[in-house]
Amino acid sequence: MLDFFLALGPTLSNTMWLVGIYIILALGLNLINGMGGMFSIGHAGFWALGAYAAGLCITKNPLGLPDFALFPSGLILAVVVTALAGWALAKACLGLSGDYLAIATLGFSIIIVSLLYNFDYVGAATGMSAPTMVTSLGIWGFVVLSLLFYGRIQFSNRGRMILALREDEIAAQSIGIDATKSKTLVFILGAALAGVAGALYAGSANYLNPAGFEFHQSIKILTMVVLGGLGTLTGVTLAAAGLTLLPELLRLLNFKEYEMLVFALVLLVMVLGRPQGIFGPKELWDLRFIRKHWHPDRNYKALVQSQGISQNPTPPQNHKGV
Amino acid sequence: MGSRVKLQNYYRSIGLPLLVTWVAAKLLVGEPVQGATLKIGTVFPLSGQQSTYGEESANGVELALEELKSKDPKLAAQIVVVKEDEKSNPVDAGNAVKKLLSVDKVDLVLGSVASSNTLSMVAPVLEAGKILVSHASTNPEVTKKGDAIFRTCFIDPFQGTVLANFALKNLNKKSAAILLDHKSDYSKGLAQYFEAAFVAGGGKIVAKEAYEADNKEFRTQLTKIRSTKPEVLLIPGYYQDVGMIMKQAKQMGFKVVMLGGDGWDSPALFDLAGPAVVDHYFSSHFSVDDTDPAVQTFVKAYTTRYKKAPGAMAALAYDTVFVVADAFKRAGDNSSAALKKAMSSVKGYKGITGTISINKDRDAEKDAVVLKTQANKAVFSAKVSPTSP
Amino acid sequence: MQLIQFLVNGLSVGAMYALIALGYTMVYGIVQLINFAHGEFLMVGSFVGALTVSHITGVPIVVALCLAMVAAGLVAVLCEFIAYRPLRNQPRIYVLTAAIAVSVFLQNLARLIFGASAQNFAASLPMGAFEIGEVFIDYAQLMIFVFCFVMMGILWVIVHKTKLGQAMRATSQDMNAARLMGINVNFIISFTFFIGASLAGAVGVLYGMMYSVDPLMGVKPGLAAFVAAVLGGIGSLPGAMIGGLLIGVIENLVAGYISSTYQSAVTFLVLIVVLSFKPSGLLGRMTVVKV
Repeated sequence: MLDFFLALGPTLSNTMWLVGIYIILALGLNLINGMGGMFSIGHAGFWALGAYAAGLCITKNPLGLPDFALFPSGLILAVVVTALAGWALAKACLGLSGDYLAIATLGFSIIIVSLLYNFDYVGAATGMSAPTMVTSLGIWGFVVLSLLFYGRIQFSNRGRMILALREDEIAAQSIGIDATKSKTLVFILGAALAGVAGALYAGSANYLNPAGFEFHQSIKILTMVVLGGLGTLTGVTLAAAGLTLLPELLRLLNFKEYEMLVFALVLLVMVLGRPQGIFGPKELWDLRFIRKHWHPDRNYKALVQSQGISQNPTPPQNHKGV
Repeated sequence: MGSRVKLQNYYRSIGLPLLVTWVAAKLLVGEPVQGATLKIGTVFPLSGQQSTYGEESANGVELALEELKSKDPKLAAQIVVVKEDEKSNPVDAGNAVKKLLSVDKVDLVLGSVASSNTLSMVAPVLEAGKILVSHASTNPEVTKKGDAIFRTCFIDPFQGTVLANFALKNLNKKSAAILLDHKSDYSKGLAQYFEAAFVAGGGKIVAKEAYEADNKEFRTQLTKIRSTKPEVLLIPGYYQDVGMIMKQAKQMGFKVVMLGGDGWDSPALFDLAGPAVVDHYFSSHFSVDDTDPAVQTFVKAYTTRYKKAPGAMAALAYDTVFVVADAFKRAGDNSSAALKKAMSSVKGYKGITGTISINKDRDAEKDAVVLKTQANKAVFSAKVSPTSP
Repeated sequence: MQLIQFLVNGLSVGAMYALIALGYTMVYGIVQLINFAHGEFLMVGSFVGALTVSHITGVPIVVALCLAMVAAGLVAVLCEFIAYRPLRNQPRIYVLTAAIAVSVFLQNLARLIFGASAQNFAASLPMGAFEIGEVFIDYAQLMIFVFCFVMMGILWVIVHKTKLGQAMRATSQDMNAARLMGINVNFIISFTFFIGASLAGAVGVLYGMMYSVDPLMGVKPGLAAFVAAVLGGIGSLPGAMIGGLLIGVIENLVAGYISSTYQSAVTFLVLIVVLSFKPSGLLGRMTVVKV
């Protein structure tokens, strides 16, 4: 037991980079699944695309850039490539209803992984070794940026339009919201966030292999989003952190044989017992002592005064999902 | 109330000094010092597709440590082993080795089996400035990654050459087909070196097909291969897929001599392929039939302890522990520089998988054996030394 | 000549996919759930069959097959009862997530009980092949093909000629109306899960005999059958059969003329292309949302 506590510190500091990357991934998927109400189960495909785009930029350096410019250019390339892929997939598949869209995204991710295995230029089964380009601290900088980015969308006009679409597409369209445009936008943004996560992964994992982006990774990210509560910011962030640390802690406890079993059970119990996520639709700032002083929605105070709900604000009752 | 105060006083007067003394004693005395210790982290596929290899490797390490305890108790007491699982995939291999380096602070990493997985462990080990010794990864790229990466098995160019010459000379076959696993570096490398040696020796490659490791249906590839009428079929894959391929070839009525590398070497092959397994050949690191007394002692000890015959992975892991322990003893220190120097100068260590000498590429030069499959075991067929493969 | 051989190989694998796809499609038709754990019922059936054959000497394979079907069916009914029924009126994403959890749970439970490595199925299909010109048809392939079509025939009779089948069709058309007509909807749903999973269990036994048995064996055929069901139009029984055969043939043609390493990529590419032109699949009904 003492060994466990002694190893806890190094393990935590050792996994912080991965925690950051999964938080960004989960936020990206949360944009698509939680906010947009579209069911994607192929998020690892975008992740892989971003990671390999950045990885190629870093290791092959086709433009002969100086060292300090390698990672930024890789990051930009990753975001551009994933955003384009997101746009193309949205163009082809957004007309599909929930389940069919899920299968199309699954297909997309499987195609990406299969292509990575087939192209010798990206290392095929050998994968790619890349030097460390970003520190754990750098990754957490991007986590903060992503959180701000997500919050910015959530409380923007466009964000509210997207939420309205999720609640009732027909009603929202009848008041003039362009469904296709809004959905495409949110899909692209979600994909681009996965691209950011991919670039960070390429710059810190030292090693890229197609095996690291297979279907179960998409499932893992989906689990984080569902566990945290679809469409919530703080819930999903905490769930992503928790689910990334859990396997490492289980590893310390010599529990590894049961790791996936525990994972599946946690997911099942959560979905059955508390499908709305750990904190339900509430965010951290819905806690009374926080919302008294600060709320990310600039209109919150005005809203409270006009509706007189300051004592007990109703959280958005909107979890209709797909 | 009064009694409670007294109790607190009691704790303060007795408990605190006791605690302080205990901590001080712990700090001052510490662990009994016996010179440097070597902390070895093993990374094996204990779960997943290649779990029989991982299990054999772990058993081999365990058996070697016990034997070391009776042979050289002082040295054995200085060696600590931490086990990790790489779950038969490169990503978990990378994570496992990072954990060993940062949490357990190991001095040397031992593992792993599949070359793709070992390759993913190389970068973290080099970055931490530690040593990696692989007992079973035969792809040549592994040790090219840095001067702290060693291995105690032969490499695929040698294995490929052995197989090609065996097909040309011993079996007298002139045309070959290849069916490889395209998700494995080991498989692709072995195929490449076999092809080079086979063509150089006057043979002809008539067909080259690939499969994906998680697929179980191979009839279409076999159909294409059959139409080119090869005399031998090289399947440089792992036993699970090879078993399926043998079974389906037999069901299709396709008769051909199959050749393979050490990826075949597992008792599970005979179980999976059933009656289709007989009369094929594969190269490996050692044979349980070897009459060398050292080998026989090992086979006996392993069989009594684990209730089954050892495969090549067990023997390789067993040898590797002794090679590493010996290097540590000569280095007299657990620093990477000293260990690196000692590992580089391993010469003529007589193990059960042949005589191990580490060459300038940090690979082991040693004999390979070719085994012939029978209904439920593989029997010794030929021995090939590195000087004249 | 090779083309015919590839078609033969494709149809035999495709027949198995079709039988599995029928389970997906039946369940979807009734509760609108893509049951991700369906491939795991195949695995359960395969292990039960393998254990029966290896532990009871001289047991006829038919008995093992029946046991496997019943076991797979019961596991499915249990899963439905524990994991899916409480979520029936919840948004679909939760039920899908539950299905994914059940799938991972069953895989890992099997891994803990039986170990991760592949094992041989003690009984095997007959070895050898018919030779017609240059085309070889294995006894094994032929048996699988015939067996799958017999099973499909039985299913057709159950769905179209029995009271239960009538009730199933009624429930899939309108669950509430069916309930008002006095149909025990919960029982019909359990029954559908049972039938679908026992078909998968039967395929599991064949699959085990043809190849080998391992905890992750259901993933690949499950995914292929899933694609097949969607391609054919999920919810449609003939669609699932056609989709299954089609996926089997496509996989083998890709392996034959391009490379087997592109199998999954091409399969899914075909799916995405078909979906973007005909979003309800080949034989699916278009659902119109009424305001």
